[in-house]
Amino acid sequence: MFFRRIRGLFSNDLSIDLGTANTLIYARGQGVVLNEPSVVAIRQDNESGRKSVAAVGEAAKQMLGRTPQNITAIRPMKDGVIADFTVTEKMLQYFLHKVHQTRMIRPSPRVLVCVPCGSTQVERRAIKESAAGAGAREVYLIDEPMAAAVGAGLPVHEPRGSMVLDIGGGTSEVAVMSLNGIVFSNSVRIGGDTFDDAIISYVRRNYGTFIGEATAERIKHRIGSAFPGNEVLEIEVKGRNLSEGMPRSFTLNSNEILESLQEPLMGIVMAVKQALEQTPPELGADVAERGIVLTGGGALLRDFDRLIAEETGLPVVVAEDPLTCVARGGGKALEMIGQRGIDLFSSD
Amino acid sequence: MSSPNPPSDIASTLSDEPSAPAPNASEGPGATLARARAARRLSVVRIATELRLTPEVVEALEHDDYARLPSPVFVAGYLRSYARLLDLDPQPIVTRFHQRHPDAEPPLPRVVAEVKGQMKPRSGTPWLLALLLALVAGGGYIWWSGYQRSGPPEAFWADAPATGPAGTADEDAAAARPVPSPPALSTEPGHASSTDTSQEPPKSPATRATVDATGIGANGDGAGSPSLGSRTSEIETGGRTGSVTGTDTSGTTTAGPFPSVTATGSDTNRDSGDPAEQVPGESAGRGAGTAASAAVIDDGQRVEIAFSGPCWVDIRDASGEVQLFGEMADGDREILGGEPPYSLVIGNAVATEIRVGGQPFDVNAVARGNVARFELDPQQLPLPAANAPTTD
Repeated sequence: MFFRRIRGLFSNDLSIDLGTANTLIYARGQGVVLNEPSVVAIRQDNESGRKSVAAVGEAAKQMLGRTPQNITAIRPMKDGVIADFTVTEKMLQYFLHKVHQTRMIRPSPRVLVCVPCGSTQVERRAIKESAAGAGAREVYLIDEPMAAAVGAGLPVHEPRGSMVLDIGGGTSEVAVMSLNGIVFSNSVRIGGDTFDDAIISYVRRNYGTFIGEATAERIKHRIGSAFPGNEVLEIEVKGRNLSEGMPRSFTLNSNEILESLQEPLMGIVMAVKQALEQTPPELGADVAERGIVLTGGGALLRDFDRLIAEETGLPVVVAEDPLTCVARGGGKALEMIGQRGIDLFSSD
Repeated sequence: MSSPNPPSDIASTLSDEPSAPAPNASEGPGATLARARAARRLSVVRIATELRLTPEVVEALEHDDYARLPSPVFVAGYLRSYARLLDLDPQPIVTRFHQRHPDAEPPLPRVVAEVKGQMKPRSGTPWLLALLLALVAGGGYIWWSGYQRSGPPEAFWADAPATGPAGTADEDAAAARPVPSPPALSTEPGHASSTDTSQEPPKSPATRATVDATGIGANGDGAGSPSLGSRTSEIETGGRTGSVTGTDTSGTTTAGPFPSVTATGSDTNRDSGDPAEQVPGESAGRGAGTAASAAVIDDGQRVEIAFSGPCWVDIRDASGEVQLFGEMADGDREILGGEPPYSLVIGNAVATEIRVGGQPFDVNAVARGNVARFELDPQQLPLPAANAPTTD
């Protein structure tokens, strides 16, 4: 305990956005210092059967779907919560070490982890334990929408309603905040991964071709959109033709992708509408006056803001650098830990 | 909502224009947008409808009047949407907005500095120091009190008050000092005699008489009640029978010289376990004799201890008061004071000789190994068979 404190003097306070798709770490006073995919490649020794970490982050992501038998690339987070406790701990350990690479002393930072507001007590506890196991001195938890709102620069401390929609890899969260607290929040397990899956199944259904997750993600980034735009974009992709069993090349356009994404997009729209219905009228009026703020990687999907604007009739703005909003917000919240009267942290 | 596909509509308007308005570095982002809107001949209301804002907000945007607008995150978002609506590149416009309003999106290190300034100094270090000090002080006190209990040499105590770290500890030391030190004075003959004098017949007839009279009362009542139940009632009866005894004194003096008689009397007094042994009338007579010949008995009960070698002893009387404590040397002789029965611990039984009323008492008989732990009641001695000294 005592030594942890001493080691803590040599460690930065960190805010971690432990996402399904990406893990971001914000170091106090330094900004976002790490942004890597939440992927771990595990190598199993054929002889002894012992498992070891082969790669973490970007290197591991490149192995996804391309691994030999003795290596498995896995994503330890699913739907915003821990699916594989041990691997998550290893991953966090690696990331914490990477952030403190230059230090001689093993890091023991204070850590703030963002958790989906829909997560259960068990899931929160697992995240807390996992961060503590990875070497954190103290672990704080914060609800993701709150961190996203703080990171986006919303005036959450004011007695005015602010609505934020955070579209992450595994979950989308919509919340209305006022006076540093969440008035209403809703979480749906739809996110960037769901979009990828929707594209995979669309291509399989309409082209009889099987594509991998990485390809689906690439399609989404290049030509994916949430609202019909002026121009039609095209992309050439390669996948395995199911009838021939051979890899084949074909072309997809943005309208097709828009069609394939309709179902998950409507799920998110429904969540937003539901939240607006449940919001107390005064706060709802504030939201209508100023608008909804989009954060998270999903907000980068082309014209997502226009889709929400069309569906709700409210102004919608995309936050600056939406991918890092949660991590930055967590970092700002971390700085407020010592301040009195600020209670951004979720109870667990 | 007013038009099914507004961006393309506006974009077509744009395509009619030969040149988009060149952004001027000096002008505000709102002014650029206003010029672009004017070039497209679009009304503020139309723009407001497209952006789902009120016309006032759009006007405020165009006039760069940020006091009338919500927080920067919204303004940046509105500007971006507005620029996209006019088919302009939103990035330069938003960048210019941030340039003009540095606090709009504060650079992160600045936020840190700001918040750091607001934060109270972390109170962790002083607390830690205080805790450490408390621990050191507490540990020191515990060590010291432990040292005290283990009986340090006198020399230490001579120094201790000068070097003592705390006043309370000094007091403690003063209080504790008599405990470890044996009643060393008892080894001096003068003191021994002084304590003994309290037991001498002339000085203590009153107490003796009451004690003995109590016994007599119990016996003399002839109720055969074996217990000494409540003290007050006994004393009352003692007082009554005491006066009776007084009248009888002359008649019972004959019984006086026999220690065995007195022993029996006091025995029933203290341990009336076998009332069948006594006939009420007889015991009454004996008891009367006891009280009368107190002086003679006391002399006969004197416990004398002589040592023929080094021996550690701990002797306490009936009230638990220390009579003799510590290391005895060859040739030491002690006469025990206080109230019998005594509880004795003798470290070297072989080198100890005990005489009770001049008669030798076999210490070795009650010793285990060479250490004797037993209770000694001089009055019980003449009946050793019935009252074997208890050993632990």
